Amino acid sequence: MEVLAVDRPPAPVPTPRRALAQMLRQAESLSLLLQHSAEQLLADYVRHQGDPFSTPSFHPPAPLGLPPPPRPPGGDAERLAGLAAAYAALPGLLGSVRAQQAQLNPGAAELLRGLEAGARQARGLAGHIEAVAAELGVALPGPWVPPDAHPPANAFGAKVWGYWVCRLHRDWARRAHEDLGLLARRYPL
Amino acid sequence: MEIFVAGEQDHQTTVSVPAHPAVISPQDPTLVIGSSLTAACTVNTDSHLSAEDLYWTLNGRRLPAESYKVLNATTLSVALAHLNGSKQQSGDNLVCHSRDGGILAGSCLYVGLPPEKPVNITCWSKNMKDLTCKWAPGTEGETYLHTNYTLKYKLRWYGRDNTCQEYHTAGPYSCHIPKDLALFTPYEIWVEASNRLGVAVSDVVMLDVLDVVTTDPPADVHVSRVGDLEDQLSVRWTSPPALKDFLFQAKYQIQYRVEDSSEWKVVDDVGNQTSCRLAGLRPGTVYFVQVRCNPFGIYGSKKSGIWSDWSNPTAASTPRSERIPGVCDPKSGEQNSTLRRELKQFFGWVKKHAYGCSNLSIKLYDQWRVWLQKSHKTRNQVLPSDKL
Repeated sequence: MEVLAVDRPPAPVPTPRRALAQMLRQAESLSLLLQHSAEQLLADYVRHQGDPFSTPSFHPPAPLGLPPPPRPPGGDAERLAGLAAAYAALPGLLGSVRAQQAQLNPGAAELLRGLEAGARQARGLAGHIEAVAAELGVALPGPWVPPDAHPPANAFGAKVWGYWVCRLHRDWARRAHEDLGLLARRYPL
Repeated sequence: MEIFVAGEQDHQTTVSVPAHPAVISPQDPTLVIGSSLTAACTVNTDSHLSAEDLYWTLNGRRLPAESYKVLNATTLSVALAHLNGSKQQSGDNLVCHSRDGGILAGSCLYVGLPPEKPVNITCWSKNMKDLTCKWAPGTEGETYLHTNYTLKYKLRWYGRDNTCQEYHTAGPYSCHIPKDLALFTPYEIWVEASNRLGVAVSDVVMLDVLDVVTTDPPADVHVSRVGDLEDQLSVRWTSPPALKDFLFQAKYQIQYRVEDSSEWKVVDDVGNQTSCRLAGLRPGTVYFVQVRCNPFGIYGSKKSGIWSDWSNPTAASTPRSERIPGVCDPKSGEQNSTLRRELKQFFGWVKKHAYGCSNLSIKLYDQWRVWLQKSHKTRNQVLPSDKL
């Protein structure tokens, strides 16, 4: 009896496209988590500041020194650039709001934890967005530089500033989930 | 100066507005409940608004026009009387609006009461390693303002004031000192309460850490049956290991309950043994048992220590003797003799200690056993007509 040797085919190497698809899936999942927690954070924030912050018609003038809200979407590169710019700024801004709220609402442990978690999740999403952009060969803008800082004039000003940061955090989380979902569908597993 | 206007769909729009369209004075005032306040809103001359274009809200509710006064072309004041305590810790929102509802400026009002001195400071040390203290805020109602509590301590005759760092470890008004505590030397401990309206300091409590020692619950609590005895369970445990190297006299307490009851019975006179027998229990019943320890007399301290937490509940069931229907099955001789011996001891004790029970004796138990056997034989007699 003759024993024949069999050549086994080599194990499949993950293609760059597969790696990108996995990255996008993870980023999309994180953005969904971030969206839910950003919505909750804004609700907690306005509750702790008191009326009129929690009234539906509340719309104070936007303070200076904040990144712009999401604009109408363009191509993939524009979407990623917008997300990258927002998530370069949001972690630091949420951290500043946390510091202000520690003075204004020192007993609001859940709110303070929510702001810390928001900053942490935003930092995580920033990393994902950079990785996806690198994989797609998209050049990202430089880090966001805030205009001349105008610290809030008083407690009410600090409350308004924090409101806008939390609102931007929510709006950008919604946009991130949309954009990353779109990209994930374009590059399926 | 330019700002970006949110919500524009097609293109970025910039609008020139003043950095602060209006200013409210005073900014972020602090007031005692019941005070009055007059605030003024002055619009920036660049904003093209006048005093007549303004109105006020407090926490989102419009204030009546009767309380307004036009001070000059660009300034409108509002008078607030008999202020209630602030609705939220971050301050009440007093806002100056333009006629169309736009927010021009805001100021947060902090209305409340100064703190009262904290009371009822109690402390305990876990195994002499740390000290945890708790207190009550001393205000029956609220202060309406965030009140900060700082626990301070120092050695009685020397040393500087120290400040406790780890708060809320045993409830909202508590602090934990984790290390570097002296023994055999009294500490002075007090709590300072402060808010925007003032400071209050508690009375000073003096204690030696050795006088307030508690420990872990007893370990390895085992509950088991005592042979076939239906009304007894044996409980055994080991003394808490953390204090085994220190001179102390432990005392223990046991509590037990039946499975479907929330009422615990406490056995208080366990002393310093590490075992105990529970008697008078219901046969065929599941019992939950817990044990706790008081490490009094550490290093000769005269004070009673502090009871530990209860051990986790341990369950066991008392036996129930199996009776086969129609068959008289008296207890085995060995079991009878154990019970009888115990009963004899019990009646001896009763005679000695319980007045008015002198008629009880082991003879009465023997008579009862005889009566029991006779009545079983009669009940289980099989009549000829019952056989088929």
